[in-house]
Amino acid sequence: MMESKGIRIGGLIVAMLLVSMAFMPAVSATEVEVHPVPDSGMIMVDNEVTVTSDAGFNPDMDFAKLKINPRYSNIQLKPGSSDEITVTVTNTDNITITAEPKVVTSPYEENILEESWVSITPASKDLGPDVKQEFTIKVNIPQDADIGNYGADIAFTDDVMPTQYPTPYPAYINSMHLYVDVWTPPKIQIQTPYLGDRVKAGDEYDYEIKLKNVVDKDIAIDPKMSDDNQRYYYGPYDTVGPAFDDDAITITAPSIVKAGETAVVKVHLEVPDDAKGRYNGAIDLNIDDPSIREWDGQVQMNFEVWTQPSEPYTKTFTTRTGGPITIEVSSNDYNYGIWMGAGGQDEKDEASFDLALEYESGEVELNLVKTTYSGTVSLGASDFPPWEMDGAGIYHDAIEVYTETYEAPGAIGEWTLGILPTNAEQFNYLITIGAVE
Amino acid sequence: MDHLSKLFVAALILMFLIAGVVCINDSEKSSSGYEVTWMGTPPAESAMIETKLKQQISPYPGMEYDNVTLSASRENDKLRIHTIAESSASRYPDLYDFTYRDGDLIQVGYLLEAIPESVRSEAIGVAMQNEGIANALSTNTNAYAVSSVKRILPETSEKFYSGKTLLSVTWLDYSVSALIDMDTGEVVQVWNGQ
Repeated sequence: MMESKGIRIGGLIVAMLLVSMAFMPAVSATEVEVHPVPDSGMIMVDNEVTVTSDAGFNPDMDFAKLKINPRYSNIQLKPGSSDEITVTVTNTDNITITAEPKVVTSPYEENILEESWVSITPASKDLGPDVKQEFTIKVNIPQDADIGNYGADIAFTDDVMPTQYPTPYPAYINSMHLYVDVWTPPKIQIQTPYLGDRVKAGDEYDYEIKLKNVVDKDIAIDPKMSDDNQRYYYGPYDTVGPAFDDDAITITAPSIVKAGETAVVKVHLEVPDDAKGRYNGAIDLNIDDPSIREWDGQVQMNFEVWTQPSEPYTKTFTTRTGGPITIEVSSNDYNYGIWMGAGGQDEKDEASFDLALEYESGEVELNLVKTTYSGTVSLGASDFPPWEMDGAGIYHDAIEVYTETYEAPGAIGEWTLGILPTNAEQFNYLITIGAVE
Repeated sequence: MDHLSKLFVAALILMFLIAGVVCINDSEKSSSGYEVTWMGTPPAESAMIETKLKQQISPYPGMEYDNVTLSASRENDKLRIHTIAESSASRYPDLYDFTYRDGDLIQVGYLLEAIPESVRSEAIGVAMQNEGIANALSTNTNAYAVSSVKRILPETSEKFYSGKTLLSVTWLDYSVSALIDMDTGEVVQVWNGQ
């Protein structure tokens, strides 16, 4: 019964292919035979390659239907160590399928995982419909393996995705990807992996990068500006150049970090007078330690050139009554504290404002009548990592707002308010004419 | 055993007892060498609460609390105690929440940021060397990628790694966090907002 149904479906598939051939001049309608060719990963119609649907998947393709869980696994291992994972394979087809796992090359990682490093048990298993089987994949990293990322696919059957052209790396349908990160603990700890600061044009700054040697052997370093420094970043409208060039930064460093000691790499920044915008770059520490990968051996730098305005912001307004004028100016500050990459404890300067109010007849005296501090307080909840959940319900300052309120006698006419902010990222103002409740 | 020997043994035991009492007194003194202040009117049970509190709070190893400020609010038949423990060695305080009922002081929450600056810096460094964290942070050119560093107590840590004090480095703006074992200098868990 099952067999005759299969023959009927097969006949239907061939009939549909024949009908479609009639509308495809590139393919001969005679002597059509369909035969899967697993080795090349393609379904061939005579010598012509069948172009699959737009999605790249032919629903009529015959292949073993297995459910594989997980489809991706990530293992971190040191050279000379091993680990194993369990993969569950379920036959979702209505026929018995032989699952015979094998390591197949995956070109998508830094290194190809050697087949000899992987052992899989059981080596083969016949799975009846709906049968579930666990396979244990053991990865042994040899002592002399290079550190880096390794990858391979574990294919449980030979079924591959059809492709338009021959490919050296067929995509196995019933497979999972195995990613192995081979690493060794670094001999040098980069205690300052990031320098980030807001700097002023024309000013000079000094930062320190601390490198701790955690082994009993001296290690050579040769810090230099990275050759791959980002020269541009994406601004709101287009890419823009850096705020200053690499030569604004001077690096002074010892040539070795002595065993068990901490060395300091000094970074001096002279921000040019005309600098504006941001600078993104990196210092390549050139640490003589193969366990530190190229990217990890860098200290990222991110500077924003801050321009303190010298002229006040001005706002003109018209009054239609002679009521008193009340002006509120406030600064919003995200109260996380700026982490200085150099490990410095940056005490935040308080925001302040310098106001000037002018009427048609000249400057009018402003009286500071009130200063207020307000804020937003977080209670911690779903936005926090699960291991910080014990902080839920405990108050945590998030945003602080500082407000100065001034009053001046009013009069009908044209007014100009000047506000010169200091140490404020942004500010809000509110001008009220008339009595304030 | 003759009479002299009995006396000698008795004297020896007494010496050990005295030495023990001296040691206990010394350790209490050193572990709680801070001033406790109540905000508002202290509850009637304040003395008992202070005694029990001193057994339950401790600063980051190598640090000492200078001031501990307590505030209490009554919720039905229990007291809620909010504790702010400050140390001159850190710009951030340790915050603890307790409930007190029938002589039992139970810790119900904590947010511990009183950590030496050098340790904070080192923890951030360890976190940023993690591939997942580095990738998340590299997606933005914001110069102010601000992180928080919090001490995670063993009773919480054991749910995620093992029952020991760990540090959590979190970039809330990026929804990434690393749980760090400072003894090994390794990231033991990474959270990416999911």
